[in-house]
Amino acid sequence: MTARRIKRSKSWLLLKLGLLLYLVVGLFVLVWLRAKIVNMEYELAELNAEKLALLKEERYLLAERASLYSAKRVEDIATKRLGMDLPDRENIFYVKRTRQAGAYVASMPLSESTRREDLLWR
Amino acid sequence: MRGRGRERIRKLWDEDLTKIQLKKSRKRAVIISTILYFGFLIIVLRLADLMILDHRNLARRAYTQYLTVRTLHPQRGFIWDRRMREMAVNLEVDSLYAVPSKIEDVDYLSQRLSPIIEISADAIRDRLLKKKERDFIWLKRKIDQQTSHKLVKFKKIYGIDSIGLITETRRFYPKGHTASHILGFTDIDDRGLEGIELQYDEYLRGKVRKILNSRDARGRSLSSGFEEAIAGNNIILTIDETIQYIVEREIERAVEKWRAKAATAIMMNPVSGEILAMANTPFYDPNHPSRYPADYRRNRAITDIYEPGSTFKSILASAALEEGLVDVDEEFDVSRGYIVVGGKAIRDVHRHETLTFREVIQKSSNVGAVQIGLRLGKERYYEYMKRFGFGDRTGIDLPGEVRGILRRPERWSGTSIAALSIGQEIGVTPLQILTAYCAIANGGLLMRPYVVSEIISPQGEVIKRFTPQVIRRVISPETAETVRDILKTVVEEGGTGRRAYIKGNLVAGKTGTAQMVDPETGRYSRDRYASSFVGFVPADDPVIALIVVIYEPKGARYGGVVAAPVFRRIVEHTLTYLEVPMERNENHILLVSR
Repeated sequence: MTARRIKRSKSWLLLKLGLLLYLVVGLFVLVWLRAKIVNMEYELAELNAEKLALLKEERYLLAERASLYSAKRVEDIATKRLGMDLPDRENIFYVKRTRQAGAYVASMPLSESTRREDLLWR
Repeated sequence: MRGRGRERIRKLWDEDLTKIQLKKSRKRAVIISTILYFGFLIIVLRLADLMILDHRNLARRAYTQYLTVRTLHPQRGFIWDRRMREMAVNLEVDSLYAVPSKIEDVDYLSQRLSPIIEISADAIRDRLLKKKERDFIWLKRKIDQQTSHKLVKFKKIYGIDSIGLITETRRFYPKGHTASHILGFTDIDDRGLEGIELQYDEYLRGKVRKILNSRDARGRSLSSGFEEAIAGNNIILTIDETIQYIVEREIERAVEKWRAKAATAIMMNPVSGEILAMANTPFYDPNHPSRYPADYRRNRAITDIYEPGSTFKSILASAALEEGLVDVDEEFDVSRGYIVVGGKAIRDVHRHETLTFREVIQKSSNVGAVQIGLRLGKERYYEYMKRFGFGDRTGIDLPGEVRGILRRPERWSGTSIAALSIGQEIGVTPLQILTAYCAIANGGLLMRPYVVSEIISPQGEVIKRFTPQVIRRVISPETAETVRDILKTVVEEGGTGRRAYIKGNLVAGKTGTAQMVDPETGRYSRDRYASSFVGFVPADDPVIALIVVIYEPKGARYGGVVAAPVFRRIVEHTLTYLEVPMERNENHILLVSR
């Protein structure tokens, strides 16, 4: 066998080994990637379940808050438990703020306070 | 010689032995390789069978093992009041299902489940046995949280996998019976059955989504990340929860006080047509609609008709004034106390000598009203009634509205013009009367009443916005102003509606006391009345219009006695809530600068 032939067969062997290594590494990378994806899918499923549980709780809390704020309940507590009473209209003073800065002025023309546009789309 | 010969023999022997061994091993190799070839051939054939011939069937089986189809139930849209307070929301609840084909001991399971889900063991057993071939049946849907926890524990302790829980959504109305007749309710599958839930079901209902979910050998699921159904759109009402509550509270008290059969009240913004409150008593809890009789679930404000009685005189007055047939100070002789039309005598409750046109309305004189009606004539009066919207639906966005009854003039009897002048021989809904009064309040425009102001997507975009809609002009602004002035006198000294007087704000309104028809005799009943009051406040620049109708009160029957005080209380509290100051007391307004 000539030296040239020996050299060529050696490089072939190296090439073959390289290819094999490449295939093996590629295979491992593929398997690793797939495993990573599956793991992420597990994590996503867990997070999703957690999110659903939190959303469920949020909806319950929202419903509870809405129930607690109901006009009937608020009035019942105010009148029965706290001994409060509905105000007499004569005892109500309306405070109207103007945009100008300055000292307090204790007068206001009536028409400005009862503008219908203010009461629409309230 | 001998030694050489032996050596040769040994050599030959060795060669033979090697040959024999080689031959043997070659044979073995052939056998093994043949077995291997055949083995591989079998594997290849099997693979071909699995992968080519039986592929479809096996692929389907594999899919069912590691892929499941999950149905994602959408969230129904929320319903808010005009101040974004939740009126209808969703809760996530569990539903119990069973796989009858998997159950080994039906009796045992039925006995164990019975106390938890509160269904008799026999009923559970029957259901399971009836459908024992099936892979899925519901045992109880939308169970409460406590029962759900008990079931989870039960499954864990006994290791039963033939039953399971699926999460579904359930409609929940956090304000209980408040606005129940407007909101309506849904069925077990979250489909709207009444009220807004039915009217806007298409918008509120979301879209069901089905997704493929993979799972491993242990049954643990893997997620692709996008697992949400398309939620329904949200609705903002024109209703205000607090006003609705005030109205409900007051009519409930009135029904209790007067031992009445039922009551209805509607509050509307006379300028825009927005309904601020619509209440009926008796009422129901939309969270448990099946616990109440159908009668309780009826929205009387738009489905029940009644004879409006004297509240209808304002329509007559508007028509007569618009046609220029009367002057507000023109006098009418009502001294006889009755008037005969078509052979039928129509009487006044109180005797008067002469009354001006204004006083005819203020004191609710039947005799005076009939005289005006006769002057107006059939055709013209009918035309105005139609213009005011009687005999037609108002067009409110709620299901079940009726037209009422208004006969064409050709079908009127000799007494009809007189009867119609005092609000008889006509069937109206409380909403029709209120809408007509709103036209008087706002300067003559008939507005379409509505309860939904906006439809909003789950992302917050406005899909539909409802704005005030003028149906038609029914009277001129001048006539409307004159009628408004007349209606103010009803609540003043000498008027029939004194008890609707509100300190600080002018009220314009009219009382009504109508006899109801006895369903047994088909004639007017002597003891069954519909007492009503309809009006608007502040009279010159109305913010709210309200009608109160009390059906069959006991102990009193006049609208001025039964309904007017209810009107006053509702309006007083509403004006306080809306921060409408007292017009007659300027000292109650402070001006501050900021």
